[in-house]
Formats: sequence, structure tokens, C-alpha cells
Amino acid sequence: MNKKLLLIILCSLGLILTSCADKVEVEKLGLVNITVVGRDSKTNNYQMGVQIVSPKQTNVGTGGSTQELWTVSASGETLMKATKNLRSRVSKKLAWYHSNLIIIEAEIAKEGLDKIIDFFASNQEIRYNSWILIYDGTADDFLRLSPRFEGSMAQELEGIVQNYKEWSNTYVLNLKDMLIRLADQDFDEVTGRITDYSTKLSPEGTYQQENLVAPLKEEDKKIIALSSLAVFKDGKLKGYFDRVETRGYLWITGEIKRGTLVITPARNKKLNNHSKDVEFANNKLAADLLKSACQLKPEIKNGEIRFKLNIKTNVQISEKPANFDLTKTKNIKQIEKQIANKIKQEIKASLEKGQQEYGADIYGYGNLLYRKYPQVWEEIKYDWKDIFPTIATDIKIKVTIKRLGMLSNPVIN
Amino acid sequence: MKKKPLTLKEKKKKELAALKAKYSQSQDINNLEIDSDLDKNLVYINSVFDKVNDLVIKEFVIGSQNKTKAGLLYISGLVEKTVVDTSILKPLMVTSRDKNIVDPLAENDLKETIENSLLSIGEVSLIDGFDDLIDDLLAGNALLFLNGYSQALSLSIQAKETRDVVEPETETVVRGPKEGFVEDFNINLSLIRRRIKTPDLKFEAYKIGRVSNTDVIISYIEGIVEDDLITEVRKRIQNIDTDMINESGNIEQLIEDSPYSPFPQMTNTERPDGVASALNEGRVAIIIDGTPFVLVVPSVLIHFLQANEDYYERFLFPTAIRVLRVMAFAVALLGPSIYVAITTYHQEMIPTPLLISIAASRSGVPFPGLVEALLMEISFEALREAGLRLPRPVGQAVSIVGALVVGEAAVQAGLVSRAMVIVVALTGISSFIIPAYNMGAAIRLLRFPIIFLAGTLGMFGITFAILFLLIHISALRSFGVPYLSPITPIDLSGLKDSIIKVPDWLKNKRPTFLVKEDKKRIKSNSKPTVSNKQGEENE
Repeated sequence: MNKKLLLIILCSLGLILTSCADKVEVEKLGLVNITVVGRDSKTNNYQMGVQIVSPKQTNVGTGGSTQELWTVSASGETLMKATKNLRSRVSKKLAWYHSNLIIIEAEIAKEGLDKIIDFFASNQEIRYNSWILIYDGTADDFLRLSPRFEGSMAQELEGIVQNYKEWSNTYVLNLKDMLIRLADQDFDEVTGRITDYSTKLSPEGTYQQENLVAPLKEEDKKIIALSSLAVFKDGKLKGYFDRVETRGYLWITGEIKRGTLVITPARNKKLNNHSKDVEFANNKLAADLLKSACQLKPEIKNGEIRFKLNIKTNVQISEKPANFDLTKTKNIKQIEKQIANKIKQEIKASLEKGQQEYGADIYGYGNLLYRKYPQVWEEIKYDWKDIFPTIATDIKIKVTIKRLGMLSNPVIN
Repeated sequence: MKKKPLTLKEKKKKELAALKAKYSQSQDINNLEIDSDLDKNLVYINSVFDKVNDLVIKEFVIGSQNKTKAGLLYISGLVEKTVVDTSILKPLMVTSRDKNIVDPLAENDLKETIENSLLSIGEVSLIDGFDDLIDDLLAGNALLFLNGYSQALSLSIQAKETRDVVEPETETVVRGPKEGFVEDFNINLSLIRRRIKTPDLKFEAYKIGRVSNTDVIISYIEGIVEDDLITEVRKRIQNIDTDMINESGNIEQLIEDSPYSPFPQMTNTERPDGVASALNEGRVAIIIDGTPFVLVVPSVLIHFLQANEDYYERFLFPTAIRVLRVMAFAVALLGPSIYVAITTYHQEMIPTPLLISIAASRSGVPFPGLVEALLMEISFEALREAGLRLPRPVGQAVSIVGALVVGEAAVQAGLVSRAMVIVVALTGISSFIIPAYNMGAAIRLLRFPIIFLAGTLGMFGITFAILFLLIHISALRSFGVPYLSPITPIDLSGLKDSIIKVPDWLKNKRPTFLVKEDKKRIKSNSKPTVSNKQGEENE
């Protein structure tokens, strides 16, 4: 009996150990959607901008709900200070754990990501799978942007980020990967770049966003896009890749998923019905990537470090000149060759800029070398920054056309 | 001179009056023999049954020549009136006068004559002592006293009010036998006997309750049941020393292993098929007179999640349903608690869109999540209780009010959130899915402390509660059988009929957690096969 009593007392002591301090009701939360880090141009301090969702029940009877979006920004000498200043302006308790996007101003990224990433990574409320994105303009500019499709900018951007695999034109790192790359001295960083541009068309808006868009001036009706790649060296923003160079990057790192390659098939004169002076899109052929295997291997021959890039890819012809005959093996071979060349061009363009111009080892060459030849790496690791731009890459590409589409022989002549 | 015969009568009267006074003073009736004087006996009975209005004493005379006084005693309502009139009184009062039959009052033993040639009653017995006599009288027998004999005839002519054997309302089935136990235990025994036609089926009778004298029957199949188990049940039943047994619940509370546990440790059923299959598994049934509910021991947790119909459907569907029941069990126990814990402590666990809609539905609600949950749960339980106890027409009104007030008006008034209404409704439905009412009640009860823990400690509190319950039910036993068996301690033959149910042809052994020495149930290789391939032959 005494033992039982003791057990009960011990158990109930456990209850006293915690308190209700962490208790917060859902409706008291301000859910941070997007975090933007920038620089306050006046004071040269950090600027922290957030977009907060505060859900409201629209009508008690009908039971629908809307999100009210608030954008707030505050500045401070440190990021934490800026965050605290932010809280002084918001009536809700700010909760960061539903924020999946960290937007960093390009200006501040040029000075280095390390402090910012370190701050976010050591904060327990920030998720490690948050996407890190670089934005051209200022933090205030970004917060002024309005979404076109979704209810909030965050949903829209997240959708865009998740879509990048569909068209393989950019690559986005999340907080965890960014942290890993920053920790590795010889592995440089890349991430997606957001651009905004004014559209000539009136922005398509849903019923809800109409109100958001309406009071803005015509020139402010910007739309955002995620394309191309922000390239870093030693944690500092170095420059941007265009789409071709980005695609090259994806080929080298094997991150390519799906996308389209466009070539103009070279034809013999017999087949070419079009007059030469009309250089138009009708002449082009598009191939969709189905499945690709990319392998990058270091090799040391006669003391010279070379990298071998083997790419095997399956494509599907999705668009072609109407009279182009795909039943001919010769044509198929020809196209395969042309596509391989196209890929090679992309890779070369990427290496030219990333490797030779920026000297940024964003491809992970150093890591691969270290894994395969650790002794060699030990010798050269301090000189790697100088050695890397000089390394040659042998590219071998095999393209297989797997599917031709529903019409293989020309129906329309 | 004329006084003499008068004094004889008077003397008798006096004597009887003295006797009456004596009896009424002393309550001690033990081992009192029946007197040969009818009057004396009647005085005695009268004094014992003082102010008992339903006792009928009919005095009459037997025979035409040597008239013998006789008295018939019975308790009206407990005996068959027509039998009294036609099979007892008519032969004794009318037929006995007939010259054609042997004069009953001649040389022969009157009693023998009456018993053998006059009364058309099946069960007749002779009684010497008064205590037996009173027991018989109260059990519904009629007693026949004859003047000059110091024995009484006990005539078994009980009439019992019984219901028809109908489908039990508490355990309805779509497929399966539609008969249920009734209040009369004799009928109940016959219902079981009809399903188990073997002399190994034993019914051990006990009388329990000093006032109620209730018949309690322990039923088991000899050769299947464990000896230890039946000894234990016998011991516990015999140990009961109480005045009143009204229902199986009275027995249950007096013989269960852990009286303080919220979990029931024996199942009760109204279905003879359920009892029969339980007996065949080596369990013991306790049948109590006066209630259609039969106790089945030992019962472990998994038994409360099984329904009779599971055994009548093909195995896939019952297995799916049992998985559903286990999920419902968890939801009924933890549903509101997890909602409260997550929405007040662990918002990061909810997917963003869901969190936004929960937050939207909670905006404007004046109560914290814990209070909201307790409020809703209490009103739900109140409504349920109100609907249960009220007469059916009023019960409908209650459910309408409940649906309107709790479901709609509270939400419209902004007192509770829609999300909470959904959670409470889900929990309610889940608790109805558990087939055993007593297990459902246990879970309903446990839900409240867990909600409170969730509201004050979050997930930690829920984990705490689950651990506490797990420790408790691992230690719990029902007649020596661990409550979590066959899952832990693991028992493969028992697992075949636990959360999953294997087809009947695979259940070749009895669950060993109930029966140590395993007996074969079904021939191995009983899987149905096509013996002659008809299709091929026909072609």
C-alpha cells in the first residue's frame, strides 16, 4: 500500500514539473508565411519582413474561412533584434514553424549568407526544409508583390518551387542543404532566383485577390517568376546563371528531372519544303526528357586531374515540324546526335561561367575528388580554389529517343 | 352436561390460541416437525405468514363417508390457478365422493391414494419439516395438509411469468441466431443445452443471497475447461455472502479480480450462441436467475472488441471491422485529447492549410481549447444519458434539442468551434462502435482525465496517460488470465482470433491462453477444396 502511494505521489510530481507556459491557442497565433531578409538602406541595419496569415471565419452562418494577410517589416542591428522589433508591432504571437520560404535580398547576399543562414538554422522554430531564395529587389519591394493564383504569396512561391522539377530550369536549396554547403569550404552554393517583372497583360486575379491588386498602380502589378540560378562563391553571391547555364548545371549534378530540349533538325534538301529565308519556329523540334542518368567521375591520368561526365538520357519527341519523317532511322540518328550536341552546349556554357569565370565549385568537383582520391585531395586541398578552374571535363552523352508520339510518319505535307 | 362437548371444542380453541401466542412470540422455527393436527399446522403457518396477503389457505373435506379435513396452501400468483382448480381441488373435493373409485379413506394409506389415484400432478413430494415446507411454498409449490398425517404433500405447480425468447436488443445481428436469453434461468439453460448437446456440459447450481435466494448456475464443458479456472470460479461464487442478488452485475462486482479498475473484467451477453462458443473455448458462463445477462469469464481486452457476428461472416470482412474497432477504440479514448493537445501546444504538427482552417474556426471562440473540449464532451454525455433513460417519445425531443443546441446553435453563437463539434461527433460515433457497452463506458470515463492532461501538459500528458493505462492493463487479470493476452504474453493460437480473424478452417486449436492443454478443434487440412472438378467432367 505504501509502495502504491509512493508511486502515485511520484507520478503526480511529474505533473508539477511542467507548466502551462507553452500553452497558446491556435487563434492567437500569427502564422509567418514568408520571411524576407534585407538591409535597411537608411540605417544600414538588417531588415526583417514577414508575411503573416491570420485566419478569420468569414461568416458565422456559412462557415467559410479566409486568410487575412499582413505584411510587416522591422529593422534592427542584428537579425534577432529585428525579429523582436517585429513582434512589437504585431498583436499575435508570431509562429515561424509554418514558414517554408526564406527570401534573401540579393544586395545582402553579396555580403555573405553565413550569418543569416546560421541565424535561421539555430532557431528552433524554423524548419530545415525551408526554401532559400534570392530576390533581386529590396525586401520592401518583395513584400509589396501580390500573388496571382493562390491566396498568398507563400502558397504561390511554394507551388512554383515545387514545380521546378517539371521544367528543370532552376534549382533551389533548402535550409539544411544550404547549411551543409556553407559548412563545406570547397563546395559552393547555388539557389533559385526570384525575379519580378511588370506584365503587359492585366494580371489574372481571382475574386479574392482583385481587391489586393486593384489599389496598386499599373506599374506595380508585377508578377514573379523563379528562373535561373543564383551562384555563390564562399557564401557570397557571385552572379546569376541564365537558363541555358542553369540547365547545364543540372546536367552535371544529375538533378535534371524533366524538361524540354529544342533543336532545329538539319535536313537534306529533298525533305525541306520551306524557303530558306523563312526562319521560323515551324522548323523546330522539341524533345521531352523522360529519364536521365548523369555520372560525374574524377580520373587522374599522368598526374592530370580530369573529370568524366557520362550522360544517358531518354527523350520523347513531343513536337516536330509537321512534315518531318520520324519513320526513317537516319532522321532519328540525326536528331539524337543534335540533341546530344545541344546538351553538350548547355554543359559547356555552364562550366564556362561557373568554373572558369566565377571559379565557384558549385558542381561538387572537390567533394568527388576527395571521395575517390583522398590522398591526392590532401595534397591539393589548400590550392583547390586555384586548381578548380583549370580542370577539364570530358563529356560523353548518349541520347535515346524512346517515343515518337502518336504520329510518326508525316500526315500533313 | 351439555358443556362437555362444548368444552372439547373450547379446549381445542384455547389450545390453538395458546399455540398461536407461542409461535408469534418465538421466531424460532428451526426443525419444527409437522403436526398431525391440521389446525395446529395452519395456526403455525398463519403465524409465520402473518400479514402475508398473497398466501391462500383453502380448507376442504375429502371423501363422502369418512370425511377427512384437508388444507391447501399456496401463494397466489406463483401457482397455475387452473391446475389448482382442475387437477387438485376437483379430484379431491368432487371425484373423491364418487362411489366407484375405491374409498380413499378405507384401510389404505390416504396419502398414497391421493398421490397415486387422485392428483394429476407430475411432481409430488413428501415433506416433514416446516423449513423445507416454507421454502417450497415460496418457490411456488402448493402444499396439501391432511388432518391426521404429520407430513405434507408438496405439489409442484409453479407458474412463471416469462418473456418470449426474442432477439436481444443490446446485441442485434444481421446474420446469426435471433434468440436471446430471458429472465427465467431454466429457459436460459435450455437455450444453451440446445446448442451443446453433450453430457459434458455441466450446470452447477448455487443459491446465493440470504433474502433473494437467487439461483446461480456455473456452466462449463468438462474436458475443455481448465480445472484451476473452474475451481477458482466455484470458490469465488461460494464465497459470496450477501443478502440480495438481482442481476449479473451484483455477482460481477463480488467476484471480479480488480474492483477498482475502470476496465470490465468479464463480458456479459444476452446471446446463447455467444455463450456456447465461449464455453467451447474453455471459458465459464455464470447464469443468474432473473436476468437475461449471462457472465462469461475469463474475459480479456480483445473479447470486448469482438461481436458474435464476426464469426458468422467470412473472415475478411470481420478482420477489417475489427481493425476499425481498434481504431475507434483509440479515437474514442484519445480523440478530443489529441485535438486539444495539438491545437494548444503543438501547432507545428498540423499541416499549414489544416491549421489555418482550424484557427479560422476557432477565431472568436471565448474559451480555451481545454474548456471547450470538456464543455462539449460533458454536454454530449449528458445528452446521451438523457436520451437513454427517458421514454422513447421524450428521448426524441432530447436528441432534437441536442442536435440543435450542441451542434448548431453553439457554433452559430460562436461558443464552440466547428472543428470541435466534428471532433466530439467523431469521438461519439467511435465510442458507439465498441460492441461491449461496459467497455464503452470505461472508455468514456477515461476520456475526461486524459482531456484534462492534454489541456495542461499537451502531448506529454497524453503519453503519460497512455503509459499509465498500459501499465495498469498489463497488470490486470481476469480470473488469472492476463488482460492483454493473446497479444502480450503472446499466444499464436489466440492471435488467430484477436484483431484479425483467420478463416474457420485455420482455427485448428483452441486459444492456449484460455486452455493450457490444447485440444484440436478442427481437422487440419480442412481448407475447402473442390473434390471433383465438375467443369472438366462435364466437358
